Amino acid sequence: MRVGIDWRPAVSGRGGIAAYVRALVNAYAPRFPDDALALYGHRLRPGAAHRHAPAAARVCAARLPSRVAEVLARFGVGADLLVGGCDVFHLTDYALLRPTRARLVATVHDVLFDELPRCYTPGMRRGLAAVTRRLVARADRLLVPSLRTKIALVERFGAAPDRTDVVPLGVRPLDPSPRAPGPAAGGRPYLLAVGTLEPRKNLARLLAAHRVALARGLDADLVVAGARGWLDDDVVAALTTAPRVRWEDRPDDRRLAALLRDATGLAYPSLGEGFGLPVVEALAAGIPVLTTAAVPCLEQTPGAALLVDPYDVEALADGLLRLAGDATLRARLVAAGAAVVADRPWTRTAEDTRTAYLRAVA
Amino acid sequence: MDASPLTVEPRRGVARALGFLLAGLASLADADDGVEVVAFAPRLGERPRAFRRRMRDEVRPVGFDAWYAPWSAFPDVAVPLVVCVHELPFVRCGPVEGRVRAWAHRRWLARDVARAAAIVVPSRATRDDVLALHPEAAPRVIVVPHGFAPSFVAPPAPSLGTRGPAGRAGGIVLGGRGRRKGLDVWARALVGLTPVVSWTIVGRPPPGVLAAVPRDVPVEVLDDPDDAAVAARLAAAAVLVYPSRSEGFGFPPLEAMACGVPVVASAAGAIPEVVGDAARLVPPGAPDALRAAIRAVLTDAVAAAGLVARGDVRARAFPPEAAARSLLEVVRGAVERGGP
Repeated sequence: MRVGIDWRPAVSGRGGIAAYVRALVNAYAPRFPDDALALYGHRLRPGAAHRHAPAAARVCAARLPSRVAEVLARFGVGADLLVGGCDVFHLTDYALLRPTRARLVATVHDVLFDELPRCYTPGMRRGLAAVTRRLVARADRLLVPSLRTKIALVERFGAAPDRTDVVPLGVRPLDPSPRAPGPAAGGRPYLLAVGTLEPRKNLARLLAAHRVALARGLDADLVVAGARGWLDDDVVAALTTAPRVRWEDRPDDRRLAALLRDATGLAYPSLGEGFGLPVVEALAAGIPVLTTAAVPCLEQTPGAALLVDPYDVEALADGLLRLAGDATLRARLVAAGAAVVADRPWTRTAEDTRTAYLRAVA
Repeated sequence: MDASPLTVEPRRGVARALGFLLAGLASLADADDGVEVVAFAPRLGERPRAFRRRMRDEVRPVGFDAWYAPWSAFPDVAVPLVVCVHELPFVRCGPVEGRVRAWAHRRWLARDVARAAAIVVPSRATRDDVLALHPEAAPRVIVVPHGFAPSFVAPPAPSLGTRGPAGRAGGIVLGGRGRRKGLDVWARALVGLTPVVSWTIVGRPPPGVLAAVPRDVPVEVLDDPDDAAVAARLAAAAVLVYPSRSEGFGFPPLEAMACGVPVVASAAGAIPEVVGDAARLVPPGAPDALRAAIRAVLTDAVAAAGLVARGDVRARAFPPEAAARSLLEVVRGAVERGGP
């Protein structure tokens, strides 16, 4: 089977979607060596698109702006022809690169712009909703990372349940550079928060809870690792002024891995997620996690993390105190988490994804 | 190249020309190695001036041998420049799109002639118009007809059973700025036209046109037409009327032909070159002749079927690959010759 994949998020992006695309493709290529992988990755600089790509895949780095590439299908050159022909083309982000003849598979990571409208700007809501509607209308097969996302996509966007496959994400191996710096906060224990600075990540309440917990005797810094996103002015102001809080702007994968390795725990009180990759990555690194029931990666095994109400600052502060202060709890969570992530390698995600490709082609 | 025409909504003729050119270049890519296309386009919401500045700054480090401008706007580059001049309606018809636009066209053209190593025009008609103003540019003005693919409007595998004028009703005309599209002629041709059919104006009609349409003729205006709406009208139309006073190329007749719609057009500008024998041509600005031609197409099924059959062939006469190949030749020539 010839598979075309929209590689653009992996070329330019940071954050969850870039991690998803890189990990999926790098697990798929060795698992299914007979499939010809063609990656569509636009970049002005030649070579940039090849970074992160497996050697077995062919990278098509058309030097066309995305806005132009996305209308070329209308003129007879769809995504499949841009990558030199394929049987199925997989859209990995909220962007419609229409194929001419190939079947279309699209990943919809979440529809939280519709479920949590206050966490997005009106322009983002409109844009994401428009693309999602078109993906639902055009794709032969839709991939979602969790049952929760499938339900939302079916109920809110009318996706056909029998064409929508739940394909959970995998866990990528932790790869901290040996030379990566050690503990981020001068040897003091710290809790780590990961995520783009956007309202959905609930950082404002986390910072408030950290302040409350410090007043109640918490002895741990808070390190926030993530790039600026949107509607984040207040959070940025709080990050730069709050005591015992550090902001790691735009950490790369290795830095993130190093930060995770040395953290006492991960605080991830998100208001909603399509999957919640940082949670499983922390569990894979043996780091206990404080999160919420709105993060669906543990929808089958809620006991693997400490769950709190994301809107309740007091409860969050309690959670932080327990996570930092209760070694027995941490050990229990780590043990439970190890069991969860053990059977979730990216090769399984690749296998499930290929099943969807086969269904699309059938 | 600058690909910004493709990001402007609605996508008019210039955008179609560029889209087919890029499509042609993409399908040549494997066969014609040694040429790499690097396209630039404004980011969402980026203003033209900011885009031109960014284009200039980002273009230099990329390193390239020639710059193609799909319209008369280009950054300050040191490499040979190839500019596409689409049409100059004011040369033969006076300021049919207004005096300001005619003045601007004149200035752009002077700049193009001064700077370009080659000027690409989509038709002999536009070449004549360029040379009427700048005869000294003759060796640098090269005709490269635009590409067109019937799949742009028609589904890839058309069911032949639904083609042809049988069962179709209604006509289509194109709106547009000023008097260029000749809607005033069409409105006058409707007076006394039998049979009375309903009409769709795709685009905004110039002021006064709707008032000139006889009262008993139903007219629908697709003010802000999207592709799907136009495709639906084309699928149901019995005739496309294209009474333009001037065209540099003219995609709408080809689009109608690709959908099996007979075309009545004026013999103005590039229209005769583009439609060949596949449309019924009338003199521009002649309502009586236009009325007779529309009536003939609406009432004479055999003549209409002949137009549809010839149109089906004509719509395939401009393969995008050929346009791309010809343009590459022009670009190679410009690179070999150097500056203007």
